[in-house]
Amino acid sequence: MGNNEMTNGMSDARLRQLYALGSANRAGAAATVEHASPEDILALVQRSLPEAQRLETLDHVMACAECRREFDLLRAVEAAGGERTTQVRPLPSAWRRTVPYALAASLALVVGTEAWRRSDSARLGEEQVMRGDGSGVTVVSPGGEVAAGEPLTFAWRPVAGARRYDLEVLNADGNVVFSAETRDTVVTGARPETILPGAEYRWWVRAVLDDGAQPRSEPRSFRVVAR
Amino acid sequence: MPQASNELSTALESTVANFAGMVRRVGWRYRLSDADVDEVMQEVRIRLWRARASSEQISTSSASYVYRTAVSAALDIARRRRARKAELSDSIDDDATPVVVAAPGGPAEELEQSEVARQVAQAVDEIVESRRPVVRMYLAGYPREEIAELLGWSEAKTRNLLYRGLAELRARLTERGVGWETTK
Repeated sequence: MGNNEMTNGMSDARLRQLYALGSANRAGAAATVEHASPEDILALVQRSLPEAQRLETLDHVMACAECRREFDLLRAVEAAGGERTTQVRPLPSAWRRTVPYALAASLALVVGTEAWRRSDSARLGEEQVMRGDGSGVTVVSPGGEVAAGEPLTFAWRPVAGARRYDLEVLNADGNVVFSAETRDTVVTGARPETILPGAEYRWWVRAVLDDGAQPRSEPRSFRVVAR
Repeated sequence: MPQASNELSTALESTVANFAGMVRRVGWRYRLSDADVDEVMQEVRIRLWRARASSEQISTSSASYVYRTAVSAALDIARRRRARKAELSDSIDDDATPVVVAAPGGPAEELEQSEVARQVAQAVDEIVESRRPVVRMYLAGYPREEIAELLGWSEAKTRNLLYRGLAELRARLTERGVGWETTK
């Protein structure tokens, strides 16, 4: 809501700060509170409650630190379930021994350093990290449809205070099929053999900041289409 | 009895690790602690290990099994926390200590800030019901897109209700004499 100032000049940021303080003090002082049941919180994140009940449950959950923690946990599990396709094909045998979450380095090798190269200024330790003013990461391209056979270039906007950026490309099963670390805001090169025509992919970028924070972009999809 | 193995099949382990990675990534968005994610995924592993007789079938059938296991594990963890908390407050009545978040400045400013914060919390309580949860969620730091998604509302409807809710909140605070315009 930006800096809308109606009858009262208190900014959104200030309201948030005071609301957090007021809620924390209230939570500590309350002796007994009627909590939302875990089942209701799950129904809330699964959007299976009728609207009136959904609003009522959400109102309580947002006002109650304990319920909110459970809400965040269930929401993350639910969203992780929703981010994958409904059925996941068995992994190619070459991947079965590897833990996808830790795939970053090994996959970059599988993909092959010949096919993929970071732009010249991207090698860690050589150049200044590209920095900007934004606090999150905004990805620029690719998105939508990408022609098969053409080089792929991943680009995003610089983030202030970034030490490096981690790029990941995931297939429809949620497996990382390509990853790179860079100080640049571009990763470019020929298409790796793990990014196939006819398939849809999602990619995102995480910025690792000097202060340890790791803001991440929203995932962006692209589909490789044969021309 | 066949010798028990502490490990899941490689394929299933891979699916679990993949899911754990996804929860963690999504968790970044929701400011979820790693400890909470670890607790759920540990529980998931235990459950899958117990069901290891059919684990090969699980691993080849679908990863949605892992998802369903994770949802039920997270639910059970929430239930256990509740039960533990209830036991604790029955035996020791130490949970009623107010949590005071320190304010910058001296004790007087701290007191004043606490009072203003109390007024803000109360003013939020008074917002019209249809707008209140949206305002709470927004003030708790959730982005508008997530609020819209959770409530199944359009971006325009969410924006509208949030805008009105915040305007109402500011008006209520002004009535109470809270706000920059009225501070000396």
